[in-house]
Amino acid sequence: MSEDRLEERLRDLGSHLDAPDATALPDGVRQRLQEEDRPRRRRGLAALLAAALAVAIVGGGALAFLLIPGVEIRRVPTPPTAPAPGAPERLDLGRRVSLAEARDAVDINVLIPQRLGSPDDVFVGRRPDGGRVTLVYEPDSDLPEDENTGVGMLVTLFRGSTEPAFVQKEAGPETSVRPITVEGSPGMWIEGAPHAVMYVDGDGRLFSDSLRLAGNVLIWQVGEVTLRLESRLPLDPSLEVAASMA
Amino acid sequence: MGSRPLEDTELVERARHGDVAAYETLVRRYQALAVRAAYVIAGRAEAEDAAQEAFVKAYRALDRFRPGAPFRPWLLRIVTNEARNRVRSSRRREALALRAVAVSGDAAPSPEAAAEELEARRELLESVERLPPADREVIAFRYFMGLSEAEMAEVLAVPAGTVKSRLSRAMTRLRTEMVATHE
Repeated sequence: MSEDRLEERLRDLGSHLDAPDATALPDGVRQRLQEEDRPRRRRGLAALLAAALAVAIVGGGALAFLLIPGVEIRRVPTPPTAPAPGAPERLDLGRRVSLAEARDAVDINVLIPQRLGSPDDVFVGRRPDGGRVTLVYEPDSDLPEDENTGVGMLVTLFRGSTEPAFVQKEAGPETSVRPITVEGSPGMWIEGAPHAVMYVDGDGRLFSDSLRLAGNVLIWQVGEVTLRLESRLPLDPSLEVAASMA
Repeated sequence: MGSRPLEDTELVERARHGDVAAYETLVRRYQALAVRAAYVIAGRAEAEDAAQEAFVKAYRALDRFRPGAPFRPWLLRIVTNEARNRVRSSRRREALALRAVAVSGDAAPSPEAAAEELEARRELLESVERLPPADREVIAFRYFMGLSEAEMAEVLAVPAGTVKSRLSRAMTRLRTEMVATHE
């Protein structure tokens, strides 16, 4: 069969597919937007509150705040230091698995940034409850190597309803922390001097052996899942990667 | 392209400033396309919900929409992500099916010819269904939805050359599947 003939047959097939009727859609969308009116205002308030807190933190003191479930950012007077990174194995990301194994192992929807395609490596960690998945992207022409991690980008997903804060970050005075909106959800953008990432155990103790530094970080939520992108990318391209996970 | 892109741009601008009626016009304009995109990726049962969710997410993300950019591929990208995520979380996808058609009138083919046509469509659909998701997706976008390669590049966020090579690879695999169907 010629290429033209096959294309013609595919178009004909497309016109005979049993696609559902879309006429009820505008009503459904309108209803959803109306229902969200109240939570939208609440989110607006939360963003305002976060802005006020961020100002307070930049203003001084070892204030801590918790905006995104499971994430705590603590302002410290001196920038943190950490051992130099090496291969992804040394980043304390957990067990190396395939993407399919990761999806079976955790209790969360493992979203992939379509912008970056399939990850080069996938790791699964046991903490917090529900599991944690880290997608590793090696550096390439679009993704410069992050000297803090030794890779191009780390994408971490975990269930955000963890108490106490599962991820703690210590940010020195040179690090800027600001609240932003990512795909309609509250998020944080952390850039500037590297900040420390620590994991916290069930008793609230810090794991010092997993102390490592992070570069630019975008943290936000999709439903119950907290997502974190770490790379050298500035805010806009980071937001584009985040949007491709919506 | 006529005046449509301009009009979309204006509607998007109004919606960004809280004009829900303007957004509703956009929903009406692209509802059929959005449902169809969700349908070819996620199947009939998920299509409407996925499209609705995508419109809600797009509305929420309007403040991040680049002013003046085409709305249609941007929306389709959100629909595509939503539909793919639904397939992923349910870990299965409902197969596409042919619409039941009643043929009548003078122009109707003979019952034999109609049955043959139906069988040929069914076989082609079976071959498409056996393709890997990425191949099925590019074929569906190009031929079932009539997107141009340039628009597909925007929806899939890949260079135009990549769309061309993916499409060509998908068509080669489809031909292989079609031979297999006949054997």
